[in-house]
Amino acid sequence: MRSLLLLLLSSVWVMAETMYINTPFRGELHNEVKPLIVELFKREGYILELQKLPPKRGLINANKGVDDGDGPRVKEVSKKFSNLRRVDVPIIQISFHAHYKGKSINITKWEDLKPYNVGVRTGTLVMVNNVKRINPKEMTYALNNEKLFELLEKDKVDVVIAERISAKGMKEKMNLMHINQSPALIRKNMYLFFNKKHSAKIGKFEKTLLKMKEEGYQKRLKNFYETGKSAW
Amino acid sequence: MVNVKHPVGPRLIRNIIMVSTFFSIFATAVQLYSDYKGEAYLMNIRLDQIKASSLESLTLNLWQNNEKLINIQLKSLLSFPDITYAAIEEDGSESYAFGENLEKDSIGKRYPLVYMYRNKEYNLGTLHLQAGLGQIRERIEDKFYIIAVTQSIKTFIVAFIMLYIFSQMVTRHLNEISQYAKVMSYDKQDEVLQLDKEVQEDEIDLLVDSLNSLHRKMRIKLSQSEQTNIDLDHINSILQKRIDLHKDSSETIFVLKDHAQDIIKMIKIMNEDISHNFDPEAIKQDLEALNILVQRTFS
Repeated sequence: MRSLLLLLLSSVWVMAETMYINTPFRGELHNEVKPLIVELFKREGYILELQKLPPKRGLINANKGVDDGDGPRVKEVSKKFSNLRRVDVPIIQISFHAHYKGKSINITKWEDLKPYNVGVRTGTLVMVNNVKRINPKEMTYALNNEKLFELLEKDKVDVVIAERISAKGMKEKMNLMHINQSPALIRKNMYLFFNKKHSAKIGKFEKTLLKMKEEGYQKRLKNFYETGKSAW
Repeated sequence: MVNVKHPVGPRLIRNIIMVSTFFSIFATAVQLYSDYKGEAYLMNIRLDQIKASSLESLTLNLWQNNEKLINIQLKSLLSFPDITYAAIEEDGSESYAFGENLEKDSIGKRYPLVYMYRNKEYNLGTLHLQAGLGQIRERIEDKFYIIAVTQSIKTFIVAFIMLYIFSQMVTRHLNEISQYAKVMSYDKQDEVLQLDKEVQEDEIDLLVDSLNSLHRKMRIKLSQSEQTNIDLDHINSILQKRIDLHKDSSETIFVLKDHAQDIIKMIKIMNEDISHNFDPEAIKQDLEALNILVQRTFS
């Protein structure tokens, strides 16, 4: 009887393991993606602590094993953070756009950024790498989207690169609706990453994510991303 | 001024300068070493103060990966006096570095950048600060030149002042004493050495007293000696007279002795004459001759 009780208690203990996952998403995007991730971890039997660390810090901590994982992220992050292992089923596809004031600027592709002072958020590899690649006139980093759009509003930069939903939320918050948005410069599937110490769990997570995909979770997020209407 | 081959003054000033220079160098070295240690100690304190004022915000910026602010902060650390190098090391390599890494010629300190995360201390990296010793050495060198110049000037001034004082207090009086001793004689009986001095009864006065005492005793002795000479001369003359007198007496006795021998010879001749042939005429002649001899002897 006692051993049965101990077994039960230990099972509860295992079930109750907390996983610390960092996310670069903020605002509305975070609010829409969070239920999917919470459900994923719930199905796997973990308590999820979804932490909004500074984007690069989130990756560093996950890579060092201080935290258990990070996401959603583009798949390229594992090139720079070698201890990160991807759960190879995308959670959401997002797009990155150039945002700028006035009509004199016309941007449809990365190369169009070349003559401008371009602002990007630190730790957002897709944006940073693509902007670096075209070597613009100047490149300015900001810690978060709010600082990024502040720079744009104060004419400290000509263009900022930001994810569409986050940028929309920030523009509304800061009353910057006059700021223009370019067509998508790039679209990227976003994945969940674990530190390599959790490599053994990845297969199960992928299966669960695929099951959730069949159940329409990712489609809901896609609809949200396209229409702006909440998925939940 | 008395001309001497090896005057005391210059030797005194040379010795003062040598001894003073030696002690000045020693004292300066001790002082500069102490200053250097003090500066190095202050440098350590300064590094700790910089750490206290900037470590927290640097840690936060490093946590947030705010590269721009980290760069600004590290650059601003270089504006502190003597700080030559400021860097942040992450995972054993430098992520941010400003200034020149001097390694050997510096005081370096490393401060862990610890961030409290989920109730645990999380080491983000290390702040590496270096303060160059070159500037401290330059300051110490400047101080050395100032001390060397001031000490040299002081030493020379003190030496020359001491030479003057020594000349006034000693050499001048020694020269006077020397001059006095040179001309000191029996004739100048009343002359007593007296020095023009403010302070009396010092060692110089002892010497003067001794010299005057010697002079006085010498005079007495000379006087006594002179009297003795006079007495001796007198005695000598008396003795001479007596000797002369005695000389005359001796000669008389010698003549008398001669005459007496002549008389004795005459008497012997007369005895022979009487015993061999009694000739009255011959005896008469003998008596006359004897008479002449006696008269010659007692005249």
